[in-house]
Amino acid sequence: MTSHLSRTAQPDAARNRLTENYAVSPILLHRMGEKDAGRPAARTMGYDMKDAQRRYPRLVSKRLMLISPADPEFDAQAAFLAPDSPRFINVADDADSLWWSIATIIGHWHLHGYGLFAVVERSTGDTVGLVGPWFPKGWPEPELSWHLMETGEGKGYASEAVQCVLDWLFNAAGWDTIVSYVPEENTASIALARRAGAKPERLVSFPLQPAPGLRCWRHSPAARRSGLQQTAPGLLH
Amino acid sequence: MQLPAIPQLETERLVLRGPEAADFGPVAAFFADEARSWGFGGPLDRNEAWRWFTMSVGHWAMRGFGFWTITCKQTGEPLGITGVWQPEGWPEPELGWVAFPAGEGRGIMSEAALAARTHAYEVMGLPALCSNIFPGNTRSVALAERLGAVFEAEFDNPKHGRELVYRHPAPEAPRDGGMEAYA
Repeated sequence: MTSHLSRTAQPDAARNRLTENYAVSPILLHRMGEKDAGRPAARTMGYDMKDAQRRYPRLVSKRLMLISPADPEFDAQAAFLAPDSPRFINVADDADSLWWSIATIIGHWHLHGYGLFAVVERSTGDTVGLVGPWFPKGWPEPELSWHLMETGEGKGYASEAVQCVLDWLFNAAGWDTIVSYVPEENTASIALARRAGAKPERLVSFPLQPAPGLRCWRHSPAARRSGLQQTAPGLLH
Repeated sequence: MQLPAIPQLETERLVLRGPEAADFGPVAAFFADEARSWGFGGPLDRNEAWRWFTMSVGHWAMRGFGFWTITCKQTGEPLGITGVWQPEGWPEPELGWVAFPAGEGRGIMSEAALAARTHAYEVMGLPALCSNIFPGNTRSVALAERLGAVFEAEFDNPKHGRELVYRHPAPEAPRDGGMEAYA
């Protein structure tokens, strides 16, 4: 599968600049032994400061680029809805429902100014998932949500993308907290939440919730810093 | 996939503009009212209505067309929505409309729907349009017929079940219900 990013709309100069600015991610810095995990100067290297006013931010980590599906240079149809698009893991949506979901995700960006990012594998240009803050009506508070596609499975991409979004939310976007609602039986997502420094809270129930038996896991800048410092080298991608 | 530059349509009394966040209030009130919304996939509670409204915004990005919010030219008050609608699963673009309470009567909906249809034909270049209407939705049938549409067939909508397909006059056809008749 070829890249889902429209090359026609993006001159080479802009593409190169993008790559340069995103070359060193905060996550990579941590992995390289960055002592002061909370230092803003280090943390801000994962997003494009020259484009701070960009309506749709792009985030980059070592292996991934995160781009809003509402970004004019992203082709959501090709990434998620083409006949040969990889399927989402653990999502039973039929084609019609998936289209409605993607349209809703794009509408969410337009109405809230943030939302789920498309997670793009930098080496191939393939889209491998959706990760980001999600806050439809009925949710108690904004949720950091992640959905991997089959192409992104087993590579640590969800974790890498979650770390990248948390860095952006807490350092650039100025958020103080965000939660993840994780089914009690989803051990993989629970492990991911713990690795990202989230702390378990109460079981929750709210309208239109995606699954029964959800527990609230809270991400916060302080918890995240301490969680990162406890993480053994090599766990972060 | 950003929103296209949503064209603003003007008629004698109305302005049709792209959806804005503040339009959610009247949209949610419409969906909460079963007597009004049963012919449009309702009733929906406020959370479900937000999903629909958000999807309708994304529809503009995905398709390049969608529902305009109909507003009173003088006051800016939202009076309803109308536009061209084709989420996945729809076999062809559909001309749809919803009247908020403030938009009922006075020919407001036909004025708005006609502006949307004219734009769809003359600017978007669509070759045909239908309106799918639930059996028994006599007010919507009356509006479709006032616009010159005629019953064509029954259709099993994947989301809504059995619907009646009303076929609008083609762009080339003489327009008995044309813009001139309602200007």
